[in-house]
Amino acid sequence: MTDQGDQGAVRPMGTRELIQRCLDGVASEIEAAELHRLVARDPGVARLLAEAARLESNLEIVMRSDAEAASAGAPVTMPPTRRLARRAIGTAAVVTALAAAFAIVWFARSTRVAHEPAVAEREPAKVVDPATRIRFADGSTADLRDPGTRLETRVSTADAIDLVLERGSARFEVVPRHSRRFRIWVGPAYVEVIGTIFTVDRIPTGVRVSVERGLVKVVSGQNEMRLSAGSAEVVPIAPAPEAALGDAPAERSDPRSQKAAARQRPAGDEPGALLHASEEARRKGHPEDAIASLQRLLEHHPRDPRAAYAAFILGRVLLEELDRPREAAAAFARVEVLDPRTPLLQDALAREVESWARAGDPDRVRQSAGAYLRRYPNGRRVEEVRRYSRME
Amino acid sequence: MHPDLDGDARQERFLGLFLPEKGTVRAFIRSIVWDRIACEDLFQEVALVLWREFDRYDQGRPFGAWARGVAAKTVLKSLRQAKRTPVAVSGDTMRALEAAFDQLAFEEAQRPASRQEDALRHCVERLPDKSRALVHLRYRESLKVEEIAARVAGSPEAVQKALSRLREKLQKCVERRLRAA
Repeated sequence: MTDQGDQGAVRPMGTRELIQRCLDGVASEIEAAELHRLVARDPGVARLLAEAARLESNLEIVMRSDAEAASAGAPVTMPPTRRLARRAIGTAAVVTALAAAFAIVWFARSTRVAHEPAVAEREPAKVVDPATRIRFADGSTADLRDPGTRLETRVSTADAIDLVLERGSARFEVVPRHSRRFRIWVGPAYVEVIGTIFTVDRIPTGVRVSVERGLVKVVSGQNEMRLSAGSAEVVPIAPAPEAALGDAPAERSDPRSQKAAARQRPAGDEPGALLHASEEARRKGHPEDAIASLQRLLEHHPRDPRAAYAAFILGRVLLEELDRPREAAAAFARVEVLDPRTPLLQDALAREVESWARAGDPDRVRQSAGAYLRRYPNGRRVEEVRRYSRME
Repeated sequence: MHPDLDGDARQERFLGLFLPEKGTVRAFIRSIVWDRIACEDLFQEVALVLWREFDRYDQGRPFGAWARGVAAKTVLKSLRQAKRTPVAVSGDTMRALEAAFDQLAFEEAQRPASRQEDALRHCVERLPDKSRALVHLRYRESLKVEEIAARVAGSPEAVQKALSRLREKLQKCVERRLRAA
């Protein structure tokens, strides 16, 4: 970023300062008018203002997300910055959903105008400090078993805890609590817990689950298995993006390796191209091809802003076009894990209820319907969700 | 654009295009509306207008450019009605900002917003304690410069300058990190 104008002359350093004063809301009317005049005259100044506003906006979004994480009952183990965040809860901004005629469009919003309190319970993705034991609000714990382990808290509310094990291994000790859902996601598969002690290892070919006490359920696609105390199973799943590209773990943090890996990806593997391919496949009546594109997007770009959207579409294709409701339910459940604040969340939760109803699984219908109704007691799909609950 | 699409398909199409662009749309509004709360309100309003006018979107054009054009009109109209800025914003200023954001969006096309946010989060976490506390007061607690000054027993000018230096530092850190990735 340079302080040069369209004539190439070095601008007085005051321009950058003027922009900052305006964005901070401390500029006088004369200063504000001067900045407008400069922006209209000089593309260099317009560019500086655009960059500064971009950073300002990103800071507001990122810091607000962290504040929401703190207010949603995040894990207790926190570095000092998290503790500071807890003190900030009172004034921290929250998120609201905005319903239009047929769509919900989610946008950031201040506390003063929040319309749907339930939405504030959602927690955005947050990387847990791997240095220590993680203790959750309900007393459950996770011990990260090696320094390379990456475990993220995606949802942490009174009703649900969703963690994502991106790599490494963790041992969980979960306090039994019937009304709360506790899941550990490994790619598209998840381990669901009632109350138990078990270990989850992310290995290149899948996930290894070893149970010390109690019972867990491992769900991967349409396969579901229950593991009891003393048993261990490896569930094959699609490789993590890094593994899929052949990187050794030690190389993953090397920018050169990452660039080389990116070069190996075919151009058609970009999220936009994959979404387009899935749309085309659906239009031509090839839902299996659509699924392949969407799954590829989720495998290789789980952090892309369109990943939750892709999971939602995947659920719809599985449910409506292929009649594979169990897989559809898992895809809809994954929407929240990929983006806890997506505007599609309410629809995804309702669709998950519908999927379990179509799969003929009354326990899951009750559980998922309860989760929807607690979160959206006045939601748009309440009647529909209740109808599915009554059917079971 | 898609008058023949049913409700769900229209929603899906809209969200698929809007979500990756919402960061630059919000930043565009922030470049004109310097009050944070007013910016949030306008962002909501713009999003509703985009949804309402989605049928008029020409898919031959980049969605982000169309969205910022709609945002420009909506913001100008709203500012005129509510007198939300101390001075009038001219059409020339608005067009210059639209052009700057088009260029910025073009350059950022290969960098998803989530990566930028991750990079920023990383950079904030690595600030010294005092600096991070200042960032928290400004962006997490949403305090105004004067309120921060009262909290830290300093002058508003000193706080504002410290914030400016911090943002410059963060901007450089984010750029370094994105380049390295």
